[in-house]
Amino acid sequence: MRIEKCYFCSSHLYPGHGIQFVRNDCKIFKFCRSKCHRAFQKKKNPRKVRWTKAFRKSAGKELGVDPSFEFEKRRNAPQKYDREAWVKTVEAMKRIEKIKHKRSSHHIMQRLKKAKVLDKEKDIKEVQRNLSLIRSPAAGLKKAQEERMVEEIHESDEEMMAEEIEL
Amino acid sequence: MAVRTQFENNNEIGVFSKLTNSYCLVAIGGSANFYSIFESELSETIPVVHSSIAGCRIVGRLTVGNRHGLIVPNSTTDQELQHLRNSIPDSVKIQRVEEKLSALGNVVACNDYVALVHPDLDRETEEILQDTLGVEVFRQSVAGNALVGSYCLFTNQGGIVHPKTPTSEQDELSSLLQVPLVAGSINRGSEVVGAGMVANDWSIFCGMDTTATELSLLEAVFRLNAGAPLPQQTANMRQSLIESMS
Amino acid sequence: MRLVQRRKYHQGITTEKKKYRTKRRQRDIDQVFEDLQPEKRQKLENQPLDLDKPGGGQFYCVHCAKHYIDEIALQEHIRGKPHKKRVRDLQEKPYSIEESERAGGLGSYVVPVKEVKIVEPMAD
Repeated sequence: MRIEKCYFCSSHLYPGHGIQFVRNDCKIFKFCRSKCHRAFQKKKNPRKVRWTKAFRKSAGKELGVDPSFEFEKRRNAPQKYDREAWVKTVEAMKRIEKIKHKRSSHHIMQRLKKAKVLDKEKDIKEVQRNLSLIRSPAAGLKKAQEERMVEEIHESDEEMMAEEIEL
Repeated sequence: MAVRTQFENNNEIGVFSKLTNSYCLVAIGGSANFYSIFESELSETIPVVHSSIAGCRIVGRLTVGNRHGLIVPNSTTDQELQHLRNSIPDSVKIQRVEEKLSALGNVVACNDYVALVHPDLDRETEEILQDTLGVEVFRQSVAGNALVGSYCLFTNQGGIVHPKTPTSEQDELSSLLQVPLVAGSINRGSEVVGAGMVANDWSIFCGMDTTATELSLLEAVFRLNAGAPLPQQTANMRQSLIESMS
Repeated sequence: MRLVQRRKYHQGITTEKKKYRTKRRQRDIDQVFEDLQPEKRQKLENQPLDLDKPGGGQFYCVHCAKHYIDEIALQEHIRGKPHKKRVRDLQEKPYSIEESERAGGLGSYVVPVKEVKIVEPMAD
C-alpha cells in the first residue's frame, strides 16, 4: 500500500481517496479531490496556480532543494529484506523527518525576516515622501522670517550709526 | 525434459509462468497440481516462486527475464517487488521499468545473450534491458507481428518461431540470435508459441493439448535429448508436422 | 415571510460542461511538447491524405494539435493570439507526474528553467 501524490497539488493521496485518470498513452494522473481534477480538466498549469506545492516551491515560498528530500523517493530496484537494515531505516526516518521540518521552517522564517526589512524600508520611504502630513512645510517659516527682520533692523541700525559718525 | 501441463484447464502455460535458467515464477492461486509439476522438475536446481504482478496472475506475459535479471512493469506493487527480491537469488538483478508497453513478456523475447524487442519500445527501457539482463538488443518483428515475445521463444540452445515465418526471415533471425530456429506451433496448432510454453536450457513446459509431433520437434530444437542430430531430425519433424496439419 | 423561488438561470448552459468531457479531449501540452521533437514533427506535418480529417489531414498545427481545412485557415490561425500564446507556453518544459512527486517531497524540486527555443514558422 502506497501513499501517492496528487498530480495537481502534490498532496497525499491515501488508499480509497481521490480519483485517477488514465490517458491513452498509459500515463496515470492521480487527483486528491475534485478541485484538483477539475483544474486538470481545465488544463491549468499547476506551476501557475498559487495553492499548489509546485507553485510554492518554484516561487521560492517553500524549501525545494535540500539533501534531506533525497531519502524518500520512488525506487525501482528493490533491496533484499534485512531486519537490521529495516529497523535502522525506521529509526532514521523519524530523525530525517525532524531535520526536514526544521530546515523548511527555518527557510520560511528567513523569508519572513527578509520581509520585515523590506517592510521597514518601504515604511521609511513612505514617511519621507509624505512628511508634509506630519509636519507642515510652513512650520518654521514665521520664526525664520522674524529672525531675519531682527537682523535687518540691526544692520540698518549699524548703518545709521556709521552715518552719524561720518557726520 | 519436456512436460505437458495445464493451468486451470488453460493450455497457455507461458502466460501463467516464467522460466529462466536461474529462477521460475508461477502464478499465485493455481491448483497444487500445476505447482507440483514445476517443483518436481525444477526445485532441486532453481527456486520456484509463487508470485503475482500488479495483482494479476499473468506473470509470464508481464515480466521478462533471464539468468542475469528480471524486469517487471511499472504496475508492479512495492510488496510484490519486495517478495520477488526476497525469493529470487541475489545474483539476479530486479528492476521495475516505466514503459508504456507494460506487457513486457509480449514485447521482449530473450535468452542470456540476446533479446528481440518490439520496434516501439522506449529507448530508456532498451538501455535498462541491456544493463539488467546483459543482453544485446535487436528491434525486430516475427512474421509481420510486432509482438515478438508472444510469437517466438528461444533459449541458449535453440528457438521456435511463429509457424508462418518465411525461411528467409528465420535465417535472418537465427543469424542475429546465433541459435538455431525452427518454425512451429504449440498446443495443437496454436501459433502463439511464446505464450503457449516456457523453456530453459534443460526443460520445457507446454500445454496439455500439445501433440506428440510438436513435442518431439520442441525436444529436438531445444536440445533436450542430447546427442541427437539436429537439422536432419527437424527437417523430418517439420515434414511430418506439415502432413499432420494438412 | 414569502419564500423566494430559486430560479435556475444556468440550466441550459451545457457548453462549458461538454468542453471538459473526456470524449472531447484535446492533446495535453506535454504530449504536444513531445510532438514538437523534429522527428515526430516532420511526420505530423506531412500526414498522408485522410478524408475523415478536416482538410484531409493536410493542414495541421502541431502546437495547437488542430487540423484546418485549408492553407488560408491555417495561416489565419497562426497569425492569431491563441496560437502565439500556445507557442509561448511551449517554450517551457511542461509539468509532469514526476515533477508533481518532486514537489510533494519525493526528491528535490529544482525550479524548471525556461528553455528558450527558436520556434521556426510552419514549414509548408
